[in-house]
Amino acid sequence: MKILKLTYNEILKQVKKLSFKVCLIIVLLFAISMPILYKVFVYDDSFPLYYEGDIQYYQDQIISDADTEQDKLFNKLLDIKINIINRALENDEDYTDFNSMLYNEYMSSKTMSTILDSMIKDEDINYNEIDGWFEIDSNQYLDYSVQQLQDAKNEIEEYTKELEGIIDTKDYSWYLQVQRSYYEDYSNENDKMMYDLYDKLIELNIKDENDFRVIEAQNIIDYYNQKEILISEKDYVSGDSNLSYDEYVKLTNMKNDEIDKNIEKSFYAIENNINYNGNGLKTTFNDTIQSNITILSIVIVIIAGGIVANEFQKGTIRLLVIRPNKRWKILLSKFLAVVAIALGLVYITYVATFIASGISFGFSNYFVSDLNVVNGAVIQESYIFNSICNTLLQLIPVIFVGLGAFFLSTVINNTAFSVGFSIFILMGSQLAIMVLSLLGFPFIDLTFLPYLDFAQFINKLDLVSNCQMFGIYYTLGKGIIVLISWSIIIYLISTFVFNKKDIRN
Amino acid sequence: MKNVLEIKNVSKKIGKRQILDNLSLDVREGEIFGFVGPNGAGKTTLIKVMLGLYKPNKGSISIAGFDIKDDFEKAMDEVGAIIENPEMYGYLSGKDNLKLYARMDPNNDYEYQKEVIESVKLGSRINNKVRTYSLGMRQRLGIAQALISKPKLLVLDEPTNGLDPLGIKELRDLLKKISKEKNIAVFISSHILSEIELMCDRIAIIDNGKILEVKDMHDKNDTESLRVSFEVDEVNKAKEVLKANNKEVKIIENGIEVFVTREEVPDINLLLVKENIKVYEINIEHKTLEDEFIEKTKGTKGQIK
Ligand SMILES: Nc1ncnc2c1ncn2[C@@H]1O[C@H](COP(=O)(O)OP(=O)(O)OP(=O)(O)O)[C@@H](O)[C@H]1O
Ligand SMILES: [Mg+2]
Repeated sequence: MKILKLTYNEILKQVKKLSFKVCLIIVLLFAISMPILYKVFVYDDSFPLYYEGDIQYYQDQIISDADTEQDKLFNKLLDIKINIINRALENDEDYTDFNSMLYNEYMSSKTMSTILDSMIKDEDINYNEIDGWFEIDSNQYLDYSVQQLQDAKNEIEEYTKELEGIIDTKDYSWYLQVQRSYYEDYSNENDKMMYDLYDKLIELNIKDENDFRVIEAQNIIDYYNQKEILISEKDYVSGDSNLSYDEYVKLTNMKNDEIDKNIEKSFYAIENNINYNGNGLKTTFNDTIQSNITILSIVIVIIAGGIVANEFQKGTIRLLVIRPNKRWKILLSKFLAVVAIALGLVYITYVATFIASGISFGFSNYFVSDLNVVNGAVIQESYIFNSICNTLLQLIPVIFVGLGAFFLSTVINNTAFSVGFSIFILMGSQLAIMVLSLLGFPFIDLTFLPYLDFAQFINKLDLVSNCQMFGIYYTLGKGIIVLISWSIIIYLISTFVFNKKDIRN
Repeated sequence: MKNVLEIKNVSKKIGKRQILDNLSLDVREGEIFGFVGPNGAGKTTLIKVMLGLYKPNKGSISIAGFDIKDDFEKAMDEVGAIIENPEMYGYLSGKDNLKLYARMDPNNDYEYQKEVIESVKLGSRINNKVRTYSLGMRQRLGIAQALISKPKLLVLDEPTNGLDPLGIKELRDLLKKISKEKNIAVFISSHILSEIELMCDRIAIIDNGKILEVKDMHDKNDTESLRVSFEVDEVNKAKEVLKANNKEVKIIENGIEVFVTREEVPDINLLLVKENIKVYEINIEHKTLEDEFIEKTKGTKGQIK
């Protein structure tokens, strides 16, 4: 009861400060504007593959008085480029469409067949120069016979036609069929796997480029390519990572498992027609919440770093500690106030972002289920519930860093130092881990440094890539245990110091 | 009478300096206790030790029977204080500050709090931010803050600091009133004896971390001679009259001076009036006490150690 009253006082003292109100406004503005900016700049389908300006650029390159064969070929190739760009503009091609991937290939195939044509005619041309200009590799054909050149040209032209067909019809199945043809005469395990995958995807019969299933299918292909093959122990030792072979195996298996799960989820989504990305809402919302938390962690550090030290610096500590409350209660109430303010700020920004994203992307997308794989079976989960859990999870290190600032503030009584140092740790933790890791420091996973960002535990692939980057093996469970242990130590030292302290000012 | 404050053999060292040296004191229920000493004597230090801001190296302190070490919360429940300048939260209004302090008190009484706020006469300025207050207004708010938890003991460290003459008089009246009506003991420190002398029941003199003397202001009046001057029209006649009554008389400017007890003052006046001597003014000079204070603390010779 008493602690609650004291905590209420502490919260009041913080939130009535002008600086707090300013912070709150900034944080709120951010929470509201980010989803809107995402909607306007990322998800408005206005990422054209080419612009009018690109045409102008190439037209300016055309050589007006071309009399050598070299110049004529150059102009011809530029013409091809311009035509293709024109076609893309007419078709409103966008970066987000799957066939934007085809344009580059289409362009180089067409360029190549023109060059082959000129080779067949045995024109007097410096092909190295042309290669450099149009970013292709015609060297390989230099010592071909005319017949070989003719064959190569025919083959490329056939392929080009096919590409043209896909581009014009925007038929995703057709695209898949072309991709599959690369693996047709599979000679190894991997090629066979890819062939089967394309087979499976083709069976889904996805035609429309605007179908969300295109994105999922592309994701599946990406995931397949990300899979890692385990290196045998003998080969591994020669690697230069700090990870032991056991740890390497665990991480690689974790990564492959996660990829398998993602593939399963994408197949499930395609088969059951669940657009579980929520038309961009989920990504926007998750990203904004994560950014909110990053900003809030700075606000929390500023509050926590001042909550004890400011009372000393202003002298208000005297009238505070002569009340009928033991010192540990005062300190505890201050810490609880920091936690409560952190929760409050997260809540307020969460709601603000929820509303802003909902308005920008449609509230109904919040109710599109999340997918999860449990015991090999895909299940649907509530997105909002998952999102709240993830947000709270990400709050753990924020409160920990707050506690660190609080500790420094109690022991050193200097707001500026406590806040500055804590933010330094927060921002520089990755760098610190790298440096320690390079120096061969053995217990990095027992320091709090790797656990200052819990967003990495939400997506296991992030975790694996961090572990590989830092050369240390850690998990969420370990992170929680390490942070709690540090918290207890830090909190006890703070209490001890605060209890014993003579209040001199 | 019971003691609300008992200080037993308290010593405090900060660094190498012995600031309080085996110091003992009692303050009784409902009395006003003056605590006088020159700058750097250790007044603020003793108050900080009493309130738990400093841990003493030796000795014990109890407030209302509760030891501040073993029963800190109960002890602090019975005391309100200002220490040096009462620093409060500048960005909050006076009233909000008081509410904070009231909330920390386990038994808060709304009517009583209103009364306290009124008694310090801040008027509508109580709703302004403390940042905008003058020194004297802060001091008044400090007193309200000390009283807000209905203490049995009020500890005031130089509360007159920054108050205007009217404010000082009002403070004295307020303290006398609350000590009488509410039976609150007041422990008040000052380096200006004359400022608090008139309202105190007892006064302790401290110098160099040691109590030099504790004086009961009520006893003194009967036995001790005071220097009393009478402004009269016929100086020589007055001297003759008093000499005839076995009084030692000194002639001063505009009158005569005698050393008598307080009780004798009206008698002497009567003698003079009977002889048709006009008495314009009677002045009892408390100089003896002030002299004594300066004499006693002369150890420092005005030099701060
Ligand atoms: N934090 C401290 N560190 C070192 N010495 C201190 C500290 N606080 C007080 N002192 C010393 O203790 C002595 C007593 O100081 P204190 O403040 O108790 O005096 P005081 O009687 O209240 O004087 P004043 O009338 O000026 O307020 C002084 O000599 C002072 O220098
Ligand atoms: Mg002092």
